[in-house]
Order: sequence, then structure tokens, then C-alpha cells
Amino acid sequence: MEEYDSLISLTDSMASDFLFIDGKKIDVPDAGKFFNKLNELIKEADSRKIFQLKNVAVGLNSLLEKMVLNEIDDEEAGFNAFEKGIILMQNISESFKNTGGYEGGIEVFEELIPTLMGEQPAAGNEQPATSVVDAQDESLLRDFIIEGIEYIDEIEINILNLEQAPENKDYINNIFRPFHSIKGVASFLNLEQIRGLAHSLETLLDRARSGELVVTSHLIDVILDGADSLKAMIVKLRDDLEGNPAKPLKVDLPALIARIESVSDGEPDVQERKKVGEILVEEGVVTEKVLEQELDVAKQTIPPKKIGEILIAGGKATPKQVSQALRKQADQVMDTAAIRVNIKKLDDLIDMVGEMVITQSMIRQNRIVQSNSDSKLTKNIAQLSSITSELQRTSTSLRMVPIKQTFQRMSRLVRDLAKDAGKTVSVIMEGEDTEIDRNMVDEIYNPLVHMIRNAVDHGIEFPEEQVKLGKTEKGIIQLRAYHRGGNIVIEISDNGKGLDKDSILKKAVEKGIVDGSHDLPDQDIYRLVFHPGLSTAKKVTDISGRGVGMDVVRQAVEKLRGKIEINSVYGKGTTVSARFPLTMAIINGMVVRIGNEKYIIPTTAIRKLLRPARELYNKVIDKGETINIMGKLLPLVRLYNLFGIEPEYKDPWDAVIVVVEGQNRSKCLLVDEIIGGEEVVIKNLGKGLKSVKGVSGGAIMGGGNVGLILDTEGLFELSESLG
Amino acid sequence: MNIDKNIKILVVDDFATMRRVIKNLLKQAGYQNVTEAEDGVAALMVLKSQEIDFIISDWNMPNMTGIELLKAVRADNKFSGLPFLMVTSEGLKENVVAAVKAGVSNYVVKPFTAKTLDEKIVKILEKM
Repeated sequence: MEEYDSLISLTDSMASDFLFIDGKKIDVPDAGKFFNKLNELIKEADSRKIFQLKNVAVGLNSLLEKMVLNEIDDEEAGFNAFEKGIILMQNISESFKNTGGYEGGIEVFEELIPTLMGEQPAAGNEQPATSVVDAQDESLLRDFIIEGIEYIDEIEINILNLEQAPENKDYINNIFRPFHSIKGVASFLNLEQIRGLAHSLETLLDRARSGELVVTSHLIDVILDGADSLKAMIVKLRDDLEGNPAKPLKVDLPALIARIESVSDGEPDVQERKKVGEILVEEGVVTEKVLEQELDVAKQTIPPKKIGEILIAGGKATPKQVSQALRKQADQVMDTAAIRVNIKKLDDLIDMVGEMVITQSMIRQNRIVQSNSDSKLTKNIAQLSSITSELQRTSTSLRMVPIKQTFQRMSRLVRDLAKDAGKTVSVIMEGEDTEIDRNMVDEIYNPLVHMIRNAVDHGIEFPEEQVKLGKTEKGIIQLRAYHRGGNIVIEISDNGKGLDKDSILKKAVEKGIVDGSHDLPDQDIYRLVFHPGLSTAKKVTDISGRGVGMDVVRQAVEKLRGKIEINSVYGKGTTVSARFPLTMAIINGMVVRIGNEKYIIPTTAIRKLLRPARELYNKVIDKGETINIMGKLLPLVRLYNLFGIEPEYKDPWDAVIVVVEGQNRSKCLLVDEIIGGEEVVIKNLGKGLKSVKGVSGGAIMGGGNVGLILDTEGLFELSESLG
Repeated sequence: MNIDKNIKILVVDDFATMRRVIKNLLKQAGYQNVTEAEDGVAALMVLKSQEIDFIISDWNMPNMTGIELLKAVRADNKFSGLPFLMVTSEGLKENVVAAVKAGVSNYVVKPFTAKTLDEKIVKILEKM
């Protein structure tokens, strides 16, 4: 069968190559040939589905790899096995050509391979060589010093590039290479410490290059510290060589290498241990002054004694106090030790804790439990409540992360945007340690990007204009974060041109957004920038300024149940502050009742609660019903109609009106009763109810009843579609 | 077999000190006729203008890496048989295998002695 001819010719040519090998060793160029033929053979065998042949070829390929890397102890056995493999492949190919199949086994060969390839450590020519270079060759060392320092300086520049484009593999490579080169030469020059440090830095960068590590500012810090130390070591080499008075090297190499090796994804390493002396001062065993004196003493002793010993010798502390301090120091390491947990597991845990809190409160409010007279049960239930709420607090805190990373991404963004726009901006950060639910981090990213873009694009001015206005040439953008009332507030301020009230107002009047007949407070004018279709940017750039900017930001913030405010001084700058809930797992809501049903309205959406006077109600044919709220006619939405419930009251003057705000419009919701504010744990409705309009989720309330959380925008759309 | 120690060797490495190191080792082993290039691109230029008998190249270089240089050299009929010794680092086995597949004559792992280097060169030249 001719279709097998190519297999025959490939295996035959390998066999003849093998015949011409002299000595019982496959050398590198031969190996190269075999690799390529095996590769071809594997492809051919695969396409023809001749798996016996493929398996043998794959086995030979890995055997050859080991042989090339000198990882096979018994070279001759490897050589013989290779020969057997080739003959076997010839037989299989022949058999297929003649009979269209192969009945023999390949087990003999398959068994041979693993015994040969037992995991031996790499042997061969990798033993460190001693005195590889003439040690007398000082000039070589000098060259290394000069070039090494140059290379490290280059690293610093490339790190700045990397910081702005952490995904750029070229930048990582540009940093990797100098470390690699320094390591190489250091190994020849027997500079073991320099080689070791360069090696661990190289490995770190290799992990970043392969995508195993994400480039974070922490990683960059470690690289910079490593580069500094490497430079210090090379400088010390130079000083030694030139006979300069040797300054003691301030590098704690083992600690540094340990730190480099412990870098893991995005996590800062554990904080440094407190010194024993510090602990003793904290404990009040010795005063700071005594400690300082004794530390001086300790420095002068030869060999240097530990501070603990000195304090004991001087009668300043008892051995017991010192050993307690030492134990405490060791405990700190335990304290700061961390383990990594899959975020999914954490989410599940927090979910389950949420369920438990609810169940616990259902038990507590159970009638039988409440009316029981067993004081022990009452006490135990109270205890259970306090434990569950503590548990909830702790588990939620597990998912809290500092806002720092987000801020750093922002500051990088500022740099990029400013560069594109031809502006110079420096970023000041404040409150980076403020914590927020990890699940919120991604959610708030987009609105923040918009805010930053606005600040760079519309706020900060070009350098010459900044100077003209008596500001520094470099614009300043300040990022601030802090906690306020269960929310995280993020402020983005710029010292740019500020909002032009008159121009905003003029535009708003032009577009008919406001009527301009009565004076608006400044705050209300600034708030107009959040109105859709109003943009004051004169030029549309690819960054922002399409008239959707702040409107989109507001919607995004409100979707997260947040609030956005803007403040500005014309000519001085603008501050946009966004307030987000710390977590999406809990919502602050107003519980309302319609008939027998309970609903939760997010507190952030509520503007007013009132019972309107009869004359404030209007009904216009074709225009629907409205309520006059402070001179504005707002549409009335009869919730019971939307949800098909029999209400207690149908007339607005008997019922209660909740004025809620959606995107760019407000409406009046008609409900029977306001039950009160409550913090509820949000539960997803599940797939089946996901597309139900007007409802964003469910909540199990204290009494064990389920309440639906209303989505105002969805309700508005629903009411509009029903006419 | 007697090896002609007067062959012209091209040492390719971006780190000048490393080139000097290798030159020194070659000198110790009796090879005097050495020229240098700082990366693959420069090496190809040298190959065009000078008669080179042997290449010793580093793996990791900017512009054009060692393996790219090797492939470029092997792709040129004129140089398909030119001895090419790759210098690699410990622990980079996949590099070695890739180089072997691309037709490298042999490889040597940093750091190495003059003796090791000489043995590798002799072994390659003996096969010629």
C-alpha cells in the first residue's frame, strides 16, 4: 500500500543515519536530525492513526531529549534502546504497508523507556567550575563592574516603562536580560553572592514573563530593591578593588533572597518582625532611653552580643521577660503568616454565613421561642445572636482588600492619559489602605476610569495654561479614599480649570434641560453635568467628551447603589466624589407593604416619603396620573397594578407616596405602608427570575419572610411599557 | 586528531564582559583568532564581511536572540554546516532541546572552564 511509503522512507532514513554513528553515543548534530525526523514521523503516524508507531516515536523523542541533556546515566543502554526503537518503527511501518495493520506489541519497548529515564538529576557538565578565569585578571573584574553598573541603571529605566505597561513582555525581557548577563559573568568570576542574587532576580522575572506572576507594584518594589542591592554589591567590589576604605555592605542577602523568592501573586510580603528591644519597651520592661544606651553598649562588644543578653547582664530585664519577648517576636511571624484561599470558597462561606444570620434571626423571632420562659434558652439564643453577627463581620472582612491596587492602576492610567493628551500630571494618593469588598473592586473600576478621564481631559490644562493661571506646570490629581457611614468614599480632585457655571447653565437652557427663569444654587448647576446629553468639552477627544461622560459615570455609580457628587471652584479645580457601599452583599433598604406583600426599596433611590394632599393629585387624559411634588408634576406608579396585588388603599391621599429616582427622572410609587428601614442580605433570585423587570433581587427578612428588592429603573420602564 | 587552533571564532554576546571572559578562556585553550559581535544582527553582519570558522553564541540577547541567529545561519546554504556552539544557562533544558532541533553543533552551560570549552570545540571540529 503506497500510502505507507512515506513512513517507510522516514524510518529507513533514521535507521541508516543510525548506522553511520561512530562510537556508542549520539552527538548533538545527529540528535538534531533525529529530532526533526521523529517530529515528522509523529505527525504522519498521528494523521494515519497508527498509534503504536506514534507512541514509539514519542518515547524515542523524550529518550533523545534526556540523552542530549546528559540525563541518562547508562549512555550505552540509551543508545541501544534508541536502536531498538528505530527497528521497531521500521517493523510497524513495513507491517502496515504489507498487511494494513500491525499485530505485534510495543510493550517491550514501552517498558524499556521508563527504566532508562528514571528521574536522575541533571548530570554532565554543569558542575560549578572553580577558578574558571584567571583570578589575577583585574581588568576583567573592572570591566564587569563598569558594565554591570550600567546595566543596572538601565534596569531602572525599564522598570518605569514596565510600571506603565505591566503586560508588556518586552519590558520584562529588558529587565530580565541584564540580570541574566550579570549572573553569567559573575559565575565565571566566582562572585558567588552577586551570582546568587542575580539568579533569584532572574528567576522572579522569568516567572513574571511566563505569566505565572502578575506585575504588581509590590513585584516592582522587590525588583527595585534587588537591583539596588546588586548595585551596592558591585560598588563594594569596586571599592575593595581600588583599596577604598570599605564601607560595610548594608545588604541582608539571605533575607533579600528569601523576600524575592516569596513573592507571590500581588500579595505584599509579611511585615518585618519587631525587634526584641521594641517589644520590651512596649511591655514597659525597659524605657526607650535605657534601650538606646544598651544598644550602644551592645554594638561595642566584640563579638557583638544580642540586646537581650546585655539587658540581662546589666540587670535591666529578667531572663523571663526577655524570653517572653522572644516568644512574642516569634508569634508575630505566626500572626502575619497568610494562606491563599480560592475566592469562590470565600464567597460561598460568606453566603452561608449570611444564610445562618437569617436562620438565626428566624429562630429568635419564632413565637414559641419568644414566649418561652426558660431563662437559659433565652440566654443561649442571645449568645448565638452575638456570635453569628461577629461571625458575619469577620467573614465579610475576609474579603476586604485595600483600595491601594485600584489607586495604583488609576495613577498609571493618569500617566498614560496625560502623556497622550500632552499634559503633565502628578498623582497624590491618600487613604490607600481604606478597605473595600474585593467583589466591589472590579465594579467600581469603570466609573473611576471615567472620572479619571474627565479629570485629565477636561480638568487639567496644558502646561502653559497651568502656568499662566499661577499653578505648577504639572497638574495635580488627588485620589482620596475614606470610610463614611458604612460606605467608602472615593474622591478624585484635580487642580485644573474647574467647572464654568455660566457655560453649563447656558447650555442646559439651550437644550431645554432647565428653564433658566429662576436662579439655581451652584450645587444644582454643577449637578447638571450628570445630565445626559450635556457636555461642556469644546473638543471631542478619543478619551472623553462625547456628551456621555458624566452621565454614564452617574449611572454606573448608581447601579452599584452609590452616589456621586461634584464640587468645583472655577479656575481652581474640581472634586468628584463617589460613595459606594462597602459590599454588594448587604443593602440598606426601606421595607414597604402593599397588601400582604413586602418590598424593599434601596434607600439610595429614595428622595421623599409623603402622603399627598388630595389637590396635589392630577389626572390628565392620555398623560396619566401625576402628583405635584414641590411644583413638579411627577408620574404616579401604582405598584399594585404592576405586581397584580390587591392593595389596602387605592387613593394616593390615603396611601403613602415614595418618591424615587431612576436614571434622569423621578416617579412616585404608591404603597400602603412604610414598615421601616432595614439592612438586608441580598439573595440572587436564580436564573428563572433573573429577567423579571423591576426586581433586582430577593431578601430574607428578619421575620423569615421573603421580600423582593425593587429596581427603580426597571419599575419605570415597566410602568412606561404598560402605559 | 590534530585540530587547527588558528580557526577564526566569532563570539556573540551582548554583555561585553562576557565576551571578554569567553575570549580569555579561548586564549587559555590556545585559540587566538577571535572576533566579537554584540548580538545576532551584528553577528550576521560579521558573517557577511569576514570568513568565520566557528560561532560561539549566547542565548539571551536583545534584537536577535541566539536561537534566532542559529536559525538564520542554518537557513543560509553557505553557512548550513558552520560550527555553532550555544552558550546557555543551567536549568534551561527546553532551550537546549530547541537549539538541538534547530541544528546547533553543541551547547555549553555557564559557567565553564577553558578545558570544557576546548573539549566542546574539538569534538565539533573532529566531526567536520
